Amino acid sequence: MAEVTLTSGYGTGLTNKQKLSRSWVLKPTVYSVENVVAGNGTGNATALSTTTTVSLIVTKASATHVSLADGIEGQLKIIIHKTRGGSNDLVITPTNFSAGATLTSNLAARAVQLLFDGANWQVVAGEITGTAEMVIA
Amino acid sequence: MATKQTLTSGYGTGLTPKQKKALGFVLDPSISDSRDSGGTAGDDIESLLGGADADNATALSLNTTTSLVATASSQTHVSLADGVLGQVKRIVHSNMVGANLVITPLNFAAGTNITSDTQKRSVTLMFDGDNWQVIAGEITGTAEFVIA
Repeated sequence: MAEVTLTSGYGTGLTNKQKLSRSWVLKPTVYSVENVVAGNGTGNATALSTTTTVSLIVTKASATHVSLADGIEGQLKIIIHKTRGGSNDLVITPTNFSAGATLTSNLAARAVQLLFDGANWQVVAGEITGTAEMVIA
Repeated sequence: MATKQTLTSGYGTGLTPKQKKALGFVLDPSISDSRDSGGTAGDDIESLLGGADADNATALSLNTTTSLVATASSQTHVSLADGVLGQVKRIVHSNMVGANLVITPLNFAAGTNITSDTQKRSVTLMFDGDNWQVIAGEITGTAEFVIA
């Protein structure tokens, strides 16, 4: 069968609305969520799900480390350090990480967003190195 | 009644990433929503003005992902009620005429409110079942997640 290119008054190919009509869209956007308690050290890190978009993580004494296996190309992973018990930081170790070896959070209510590029996890949001934009009071 | 089956292949038990991808309808590129030919916002985007103060804040919709908020004198405050677990809310300070934007979530993990003093900024929140968490855009000026 010959391939057909759709055209309309908006031009050639599908418009954004036409693309939307072909997909399952949640309005508003709602992500899948897992609750995780971190593991005791690098060797006992809790593996984050690669089939759930968001991981809400609790750290406490002897519960500080999580790991993240490779995803599929284009996969988004959001990691939120929801609760920090005591002075126990969160250490995230992706199997393959483009920017370094680990991510560390030393405060609750922080998040980082990663996207798997086919070879490594890339930070796409949440990791902060800049100057204040939106200020929490 | 059909019996539940676990798929297996040479790659192991369950679906491979490629098989999972084949089951999903993927937007390419990812689009939250679009505008029609006349430039009117789609129904997953709302445009609004801030309210006069904290007691008269404009409530952001929980039925749209993105809110484009304009501020001006006496039009500065918006509020955000609790969402559902995993819900994402993106707030764009789209236009500012001499007055900051103050966002007050009903339950907020990181503080009490979020203030923007420049237009063309955004913050993205996600409801964790108890509180709204900042997942992108909010910047305090110091390193939060530190790459080592």
